[in-house]
Amino acid sequence: MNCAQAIQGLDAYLEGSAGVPEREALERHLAACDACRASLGDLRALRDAAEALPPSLRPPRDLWPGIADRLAPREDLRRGIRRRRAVWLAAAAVLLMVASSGGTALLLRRTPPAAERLSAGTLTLEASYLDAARELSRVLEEERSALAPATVETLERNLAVINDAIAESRAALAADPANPALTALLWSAHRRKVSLLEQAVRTLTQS
Amino acid sequence: MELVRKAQAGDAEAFRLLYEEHVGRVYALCLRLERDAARAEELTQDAFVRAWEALEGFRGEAAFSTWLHRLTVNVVLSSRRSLARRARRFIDTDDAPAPARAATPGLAVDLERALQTLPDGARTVFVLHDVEGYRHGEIATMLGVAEGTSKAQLFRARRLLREVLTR
Repeated sequence: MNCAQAIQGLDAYLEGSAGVPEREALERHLAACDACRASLGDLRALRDAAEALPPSLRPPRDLWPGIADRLAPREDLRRGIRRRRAVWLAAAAVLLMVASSGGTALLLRRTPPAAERLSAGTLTLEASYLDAARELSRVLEEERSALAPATVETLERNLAVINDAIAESRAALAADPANPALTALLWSAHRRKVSLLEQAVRTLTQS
Repeated sequence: MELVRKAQAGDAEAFRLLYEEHVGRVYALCLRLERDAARAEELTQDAFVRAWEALEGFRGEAAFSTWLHRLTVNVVLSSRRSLARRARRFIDTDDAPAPARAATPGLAVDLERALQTLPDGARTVFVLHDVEGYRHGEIATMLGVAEGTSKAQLFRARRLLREVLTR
């Protein structure tokens, strides 16, 4: 083991997460290398200093007045939660309606319907999905700060992928309106989008 | 838990007592995650307001302090993200230059000062791991990065801190 490898392995060694062969190799190197031993000493000192930092620091001024002014009465907060739940239930009802009526009918049709009828049906059904997605998105936007940043990031990344899929399916369907496979792809992408938003809203209302 | 139960029922005075008990810990976390003392005060206030709003969902599965601590980390990270979004900055904020001097004049400890010279990503991981005791897996989840990224940022933070402290 050379010094560069030893330096790379010091963190894991110090935390006790290095494997036995790595630990033994590192210890052999440390026994013979003053510089790396000094680095290990520095790391230990840094770790000890970090652990010794005071866990609590008094802010320079009283922050409570600025907090107290912003505390909504508990009943208002409960009303807000009930409203969000109501919105979620309404959106879920829209989804159920979509899934149990036009959507299923369109998806289960064996023969492609006439282009004009498909076009009208497509627009009507799509409007239902868009309404549901819009309502859910509005709730999420209002409550964005309640979600962990990592969750928001994942949600946004997945939504971007699904939105691309929706755009592609729509473009393809515009060119070939009677194609049942393309229709199925479009509904599938819409369902995934609403389902993803629905999951995120459910996380909020259950928190 | 009595104070928590009262605050859950809407007792603002009980919540003030919880604030008194925990504000030092929340402020210390905000100050170490951000580099600016005024910003840390704002975030501390945001964290307590958010805690009040979310308190009914606290079921006591973890200690209140643990719950509040995690919520504070989320408030800080979320605020950082939305500031970046508003500024529409497409540069990596991790490479943003550190301020010329420490923004916490009251802190005498060398490490506190050295921490403020670190880039955001390295400082965040160092504070969460070495100061607050979170594991890499937890940090990776909070930050939305791979566990290896958290380890690499910690390695970088420790290297930079040693350089600053031995200058």
